[in-house]
Amino acid sequence: MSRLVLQMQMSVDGYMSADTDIDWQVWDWSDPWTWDKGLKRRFNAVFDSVGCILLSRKMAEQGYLDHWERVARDHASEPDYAFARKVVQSRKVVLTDKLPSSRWERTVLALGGMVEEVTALKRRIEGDIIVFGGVGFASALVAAGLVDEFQLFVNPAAVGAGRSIFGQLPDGLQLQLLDSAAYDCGIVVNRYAAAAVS
Amino acid sequence: MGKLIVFTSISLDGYFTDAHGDMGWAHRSDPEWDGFVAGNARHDGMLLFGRVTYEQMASFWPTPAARQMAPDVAKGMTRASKVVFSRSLKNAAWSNTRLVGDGMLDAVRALKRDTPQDLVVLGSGSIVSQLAQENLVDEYQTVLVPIVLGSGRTLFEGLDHRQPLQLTQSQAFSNGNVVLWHKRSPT
Repeated sequence: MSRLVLQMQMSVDGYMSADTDIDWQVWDWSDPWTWDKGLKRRFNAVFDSVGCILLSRKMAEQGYLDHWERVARDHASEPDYAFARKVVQSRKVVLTDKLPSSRWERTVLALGGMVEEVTALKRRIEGDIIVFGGVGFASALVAAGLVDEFQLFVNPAAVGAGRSIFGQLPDGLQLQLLDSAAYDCGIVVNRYAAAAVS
Repeated sequence: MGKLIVFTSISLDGYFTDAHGDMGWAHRSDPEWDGFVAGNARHDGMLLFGRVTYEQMASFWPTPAARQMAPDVAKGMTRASKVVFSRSLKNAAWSNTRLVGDGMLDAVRALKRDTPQDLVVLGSGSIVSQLAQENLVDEYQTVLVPIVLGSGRTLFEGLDHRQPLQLTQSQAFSNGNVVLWHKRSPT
């Protein structure tokens, strides 16, 4: 049984990256990569255990895969960008009921319901399933209780307003801290497990 | 001249109180954490509050229950010099408390100038945003508690420009709390 891992950028006051307006984040996903060496290594290491990448339709259509394919090509020999090559080589699943077919390599569509598809994927895949999507997609997975591990990258900024992946949990949730590490660029990465229901 | 420090416990969805104004969820007693909190309480800072947080703390810390639960903290809270900012409060009866009705920002500027010890704001969302906006906050100590509350009040409500911060330290505790120390970035 594989685990669903959700990685999110977050401000000190609890807001997550939105699709736009992410100037408070240490890195805005464009060139140059403004994280420090240690955090880049950490980010790459996450991909070592990834067996499958789960994407929202929106993320796929906005060019996520084309983007990292280009990055992998442009930085073909740089160890920092090993993760981009891993993204290209990994099997990818796009959760959607709107697309007729996949136009991306090594990428299949999951057309059933979210809970059924993700549960089936967890049974089938070896290694972690890592999620890439916006706050809306992530919130739906969180609300359905499908996320096993949260990797929250706490950026050094207070932003005052925005959205959270925990926005669809009116009754709240207990989490368990697995570990926490600070990096030179000012980001603290906290890893949490969804606490076992007692 | 002391620093102005904002000390807050915050849930992973960004709330410093739950929907009922309660902060009890932030108490996750274990020996390591209790030692850290007691050490903070021995720190000789002046405490600043908005009305809501003040009334909550004033109705808890002087009670026998509080003295039993956290004797060092209760003692420190009672002994500390306190300032509450409120236009509606008529008097502030908790020991060593000064009530400031109008002119919160000017009063804070004067306190920063004239007070040798650090000024510490506890909770108090209504005043944190105003102080942050005026660049009066020197340091944030934020406790990330491993819980999602679902609803409540946010600390920086009404903030109209972002606060870029500088991480100076972080520490994880065995109860799952992670404390972050940030300085205001030079502007």
